[in-house]
This record gives sequence, C-alpha cells and structure tokens, in this order.
Amino acid sequence: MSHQPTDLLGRPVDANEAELLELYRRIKALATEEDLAPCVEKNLRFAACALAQAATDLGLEFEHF
Amino acid sequence: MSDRRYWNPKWECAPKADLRALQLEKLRRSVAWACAKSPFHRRLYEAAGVGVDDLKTLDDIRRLPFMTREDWMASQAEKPFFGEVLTAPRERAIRYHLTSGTSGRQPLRVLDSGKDWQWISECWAYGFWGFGVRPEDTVFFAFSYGSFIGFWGAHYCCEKIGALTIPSGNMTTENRVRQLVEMEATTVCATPTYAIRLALEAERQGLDLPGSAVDKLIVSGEPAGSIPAMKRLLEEKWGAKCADTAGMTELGTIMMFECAEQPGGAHIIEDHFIEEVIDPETGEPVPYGEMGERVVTSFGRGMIPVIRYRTKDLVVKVPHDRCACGRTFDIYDGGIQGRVDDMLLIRGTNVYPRAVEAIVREYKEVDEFQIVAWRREDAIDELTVKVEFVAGFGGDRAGTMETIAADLKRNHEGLRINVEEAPEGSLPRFELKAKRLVDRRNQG
Repeated sequence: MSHQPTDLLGRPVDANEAELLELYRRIKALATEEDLAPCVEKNLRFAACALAQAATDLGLEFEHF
Repeated sequence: MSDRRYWNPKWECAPKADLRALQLEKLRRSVAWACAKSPFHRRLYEAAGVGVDDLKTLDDIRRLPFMTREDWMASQAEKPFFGEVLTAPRERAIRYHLTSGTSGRQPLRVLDSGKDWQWISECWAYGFWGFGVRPEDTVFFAFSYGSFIGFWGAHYCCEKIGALTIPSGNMTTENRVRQLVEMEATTVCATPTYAIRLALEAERQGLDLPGSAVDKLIVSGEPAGSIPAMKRLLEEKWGAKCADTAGMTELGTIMMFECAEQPGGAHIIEDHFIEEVIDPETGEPVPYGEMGERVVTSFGRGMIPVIRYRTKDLVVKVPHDRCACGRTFDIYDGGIQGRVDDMLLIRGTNVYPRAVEAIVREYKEVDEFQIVAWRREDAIDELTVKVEFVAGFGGDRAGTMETIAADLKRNHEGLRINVEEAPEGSLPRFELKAKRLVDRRNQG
C-alpha cells in the first residue's frame, strides 16, 4: 500500500515535493552507512544538509541532526 | 511556474493562519529538541514546569520562560567555553564565532554545525533575493571576515544564489573603493557607517560612485540603516538603492530584511522565526504599532536552541500589508529602533542614541559625531554631541551647531543638549558596529 506523503501541516505534497522529501531521506540515510570513503561520506552529508534546508523551506520536514 | 520575486514564494506569501500553524509545529519540535539535547534548556523548562505537551496553540509560547543573555553568559562562565546550551559536542561544529565583548563584558561564544550554516545563509538569501540580488550580480563585501559573524552568512548566501562574490578581507578602505569600481560590483555590503566612509573615500579619490555599476547597497550591523536621513544620504552618495537588514550573533543570521519595495521597515522571516514584542517591564505582549522589546525564537540553529530570547532591541511591529510587495511577513517599522539598555536618562528626559543620530544625520555638512554623557561637579547630568564637519566645509559652523542644538532640544521635550565642534579627523571611525555613545557619568 503506497503512503501519501504530507507536509508539516498534514497536507498532501505535490510530485516535486514528494521527490525532494524522498531524496533527502535516502541521502541522509546513505550518509550514515559504514565503510564509506571520506570523500563520499562528507559530500553526502553536505548534500543532506542542503536538501534538509530545501525541505524545511517548503514546510515538508523540520528536524535537526 | 513560481513567482521569481520571492526566494520562498510558498511561505513568504502564505495565509497568516498557515504561517501560524507552521510556527506552532516548528516551536513544538524545537522545544522537544532543546529539552532532549541541551541541559540548559532542560533545566529551564523543568524549573518552569512546562513541556512540549503544554504547547497546544501559538499563544502557549508565553508559558515558556524567557531565555536571557545573562543566563547564557552565566552558563558559559560556569562551564567554559560554551556552557550547557549546546545540543551536540563541539566535535560536531564546523565554525566558531564570538561577540566583540565591548564594555568589558565577556564575549558570547557560539558554535554551529554544517547544517546550521546552510540555514544561516538561507535566511540571508530571503533578504538578498527579496532586494533583487540575482546570479547576474557582482557582490562586494566590505567586511573583514574575522571572528565577528557579521556578513559571513551573506557571503555564503550569494554563493548559493550564484552571484559573483568578492571578499575584500583585510584590504584598506582605499583599495576596497578602487576594487569595487574596477570590478563593476553591482551590490555592496557594509555597515551603514562604513558605507559612508567608503563613499567619502571614493570622493577623495575622484571616483564617481553614483556613476558606477553599483545599484544596490545592503547594510547591516547598526540601526542606522533604517534611519530615513541616513538612508537618503547613503542612496545619494552611492546612487544606489539601500536596504536594511538586521541579525545578531545569538542567532547567527538575519531575522529581518527590507524588500525591494522599501516600505520603511524590514519584513520578519516568519517561517524561520517567531518574533514577539513585549513590554520590557512587565513582559506582557504589546499590540501592533507600539514600541516594545523583541523576543525571538529561532528554528534553524540546531547546535544552540534560541527560544524566547530577550534581545533588548526596541521595535515597533506593524502588519504585513503596510508593504505592497505581497509578502505576508509582518514588518518592523523603522527596523531596530534602539536598545532597552541604551536609553540615557538626562535630567529626567529619556534620550535614545538612535533618535539623536536621526537628527544629526539630517545635516549633510556633518561627517562624524559622538554622543558624550557626563556629570558636572554639581551632579547635574549633561549631554554633549560632538560634531565633525566634512572636510573643507566653508559654511557657518557656529550657526549649524546652533540649529542642530535647537533641533535636538525640540525633539527631546525641551532638554538642552550641547553641541560642540570636534577637530577634523579626531572622532573614531568604524568598520563594524559603530559605537558613538560615550557615558562618562560614573567616571571619577
């Protein structure tokens, strides 16, 4: 069963927003994988921070890590 | 396609009810984060007997105790260097900044993570984009890039926007002026005071600033950026539109910005901050249009939660529709109007340095000034404004000073304020925050 993502106010998000949210979560998760080369881990973490900002700006997600 | 006038059209133009709902959700998550990770905040809220579950409406924010600079400093003193406000060990931080520590005070020390710096630059982007900075722009930073946080976030914001960024680091004023003209900078960032100094230096070198490529001047760091006379002077000397912004080291970034419509104040970035205005004596909220103290809650700085922080800044909040730009972000009319602790009581009359500056800046023949409070032998307090005339001013100096004194008196309930001439080049010049008030009343 597919889960319809929602924003911080509980409203359904559009296709672009859903993809951004998905990307953010996947990259953030990937950045925590063990045995990543420093060049991969650090750049993934940098990307996760930038994506977190975009997701926060759109009111899709709001968290600190 | 989204409206390109706004950095974040979804929230800059959102209905107020949606903005308030977003703020409540972010507040709840921020308090939960702070309680879980920061011993300082956990103790603060435990002592007040309040927690996340008590935040059911936005008005419930008033159940949270204030956070003060004094408590923050005490925590730092008890557990150097950062106290117990941090939510993560210092190893997680990528940057360290501190306040200037003037007046013999210990500096406030702050750490930020990489994620925090994304947010810091983001808040600046609301302002820069809103004032018209675009990838085609060349942005010159007349800023020394030191431990003072100043324009650091603005620099990264411009890189994020994709503008060509020129840091001027340790360059001299003379070289900065030459380079910004030579490199055809379209946007210049400086404190208001330093922007004037740059303009005077350009005149000295015979450089035509109003005829240069500069069409936007973005100032920060002093209340003067929203003083109408100062803004007029800046716009005239630079031949550019001038926008005010305001931030603080405690936040790491700006919380308000002036948009391209220049409504005579600055929009609050309401999807990233809650800005309350309270009576500094009672702590109770004041309505739109009344002056009070800013209390800020920031959502973006993960390493240091700032929730209901007493800023001591004096502001007047007015509704968003004062401005025609379409944003639903409320406005601080006239920017930061002063400081709660800057007020001087002279022979029973309240005097704010910003109000004095607003009058003195009306006089183009005055280049620099200083406000000196002192006490006579008979214990009567006096206020003297020292003025330095622009080089080569051949007009009536005594007459000008008399007129300034009369203006100051008229605007201060008849209080006599002395005006004296200071020799050319004798008063201090400032690159960062100007400090023009000297209080000698308690000196021996």
